[in-house]
Amino acid sequence: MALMRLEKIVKKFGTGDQQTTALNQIDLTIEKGQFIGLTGPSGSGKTTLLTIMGSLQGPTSGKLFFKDQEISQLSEKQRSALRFNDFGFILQSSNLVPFLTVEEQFELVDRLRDKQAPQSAEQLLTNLGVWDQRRQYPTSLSGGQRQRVAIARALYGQPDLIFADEPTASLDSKRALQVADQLAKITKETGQTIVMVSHDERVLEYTDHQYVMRDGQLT
Amino acid sequence: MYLAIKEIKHAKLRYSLIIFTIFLIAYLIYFLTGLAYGLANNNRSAIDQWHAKEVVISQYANKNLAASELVVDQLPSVKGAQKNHAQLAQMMGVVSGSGLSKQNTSVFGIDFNTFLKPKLQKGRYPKKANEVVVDDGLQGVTLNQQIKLNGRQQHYKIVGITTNHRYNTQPVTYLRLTDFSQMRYGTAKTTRINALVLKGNAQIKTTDQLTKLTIPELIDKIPGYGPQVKTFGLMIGALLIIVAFIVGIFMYIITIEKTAVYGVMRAQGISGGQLVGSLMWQSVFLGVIGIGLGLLCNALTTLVLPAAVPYTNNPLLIGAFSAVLLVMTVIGALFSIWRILKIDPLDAIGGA
Repeated sequence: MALMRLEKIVKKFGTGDQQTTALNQIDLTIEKGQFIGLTGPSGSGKTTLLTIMGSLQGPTSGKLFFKDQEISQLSEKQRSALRFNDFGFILQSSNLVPFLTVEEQFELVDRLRDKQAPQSAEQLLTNLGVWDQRRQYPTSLSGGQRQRVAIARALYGQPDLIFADEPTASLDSKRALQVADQLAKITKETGQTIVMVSHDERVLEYTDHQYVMRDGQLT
Repeated sequence: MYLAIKEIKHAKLRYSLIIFTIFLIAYLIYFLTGLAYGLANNNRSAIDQWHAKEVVISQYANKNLAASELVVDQLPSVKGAQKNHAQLAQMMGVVSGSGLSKQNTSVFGIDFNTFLKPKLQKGRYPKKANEVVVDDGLQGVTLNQQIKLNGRQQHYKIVGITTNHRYNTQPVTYLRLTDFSQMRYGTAKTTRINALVLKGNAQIKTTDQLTKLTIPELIDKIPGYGPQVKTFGLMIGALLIIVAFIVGIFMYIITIEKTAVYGVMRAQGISGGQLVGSLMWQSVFLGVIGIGLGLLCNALTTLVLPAAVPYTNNPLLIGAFSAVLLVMTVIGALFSIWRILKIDPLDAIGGA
């Protein structure tokens, strides 16, 4: 059973003469435990594809399946629940809540879920080398520390599918490769699946499969 | 609630400013309420203690007790128990006497065997001619002191003292009806009074010369009372609306500033309802703290205000205004709900 399946996904923006096609007949199957890389020139539709897979927006046409359930026509409330329970996000800019300390970011998830996550925040933060920063606010962390906390936050609760949008863009090359290595290890160790958008070829080398987006099409 | 508390604790200065604003408005409302109630009380406290239902006055008096004059012999008979109706004579006067400065007073002529008799703080009720009961709102009065009324040569002995018995803002001086008639009309026979006060089952059939007023109507027609109560009411009402706008504007600006954060949270699957809940809890916390500080400051004000200031706290009014203030604070925060619900999780990813 494929974890996620895309069938002829089309996404158009605007109307009439102003209409542009961001995604054109995308077919893609993602299996459990894969580390997928998405690359391509700016404006090719990588982030749009990521947001549709992550249920942040719906496609204009085509079908999207998650664990064989069609999710392309869900209501915003259902999509919210799906994102909260099954997906994780690592964004280019930090996806941390600025008024919560590092450990409170995880406490928030516990409170909203009403149950303890299978993997402890301490374990995740220790693995990513930011446990000592647990009582600090995101603004007092370095860019690298912030991104590693964001990764831990995305992994917390062991979501099946993690979407990463340029997660290493704000990091120096040494730290970027460390983060890519950590993401690759996670897929191997926990069986979680990661779809990562990146321009950095050295980072993409850590992925299992690479797809190139060009003019809204996957090659 | 968790998000609401954490954010308030993190951005202490920002939220302290909102609390400070709510506190200032709450305190102003309580202060105005204390003054309004104190002034209103000064107009009506002597009437309130009758616990009566209505008064009969002359038709031509334009519902003004002071302008009414009833000829006792021409009054229709009253149905009901004797104890439930009483004659009242009233006039404005000036008290003077040895060691007393001239002070305005409202003079009530009553039968001390009826329900119009005031509750005494000390002393006794008049038993013989030229004995009076005065309110301690008259500065310097003491038991057994001799006073004069309206510059007459007659001296009156103070035998009883009341507290908080005022009419039309003036402390009341109570005389026996016979003494009142002697002072005003030069005869001890009670031929004219201002009103007949009814309570319980007492009923009277009015003629075209008489009109019946309920006690609230009578109070509302005390000169200056209605406009004063309405003015204070309008000011307090306006402040309650202003607080909703102030909180609304503050919360809306904060919400706009947090659009990106909300976008991230929406992207992570935190629902709009949970974010709205957080905003509502925030407004409740801010409101409760601001109102609490206002109540505390109001209590301190009561301790330091001079007795001459007509300031009275009514727990029921303060409780009601506190509840309305809290509701208005929450209503203010409602302005931001549509903004939160409109936030697109795509904002977190740069609007792909």
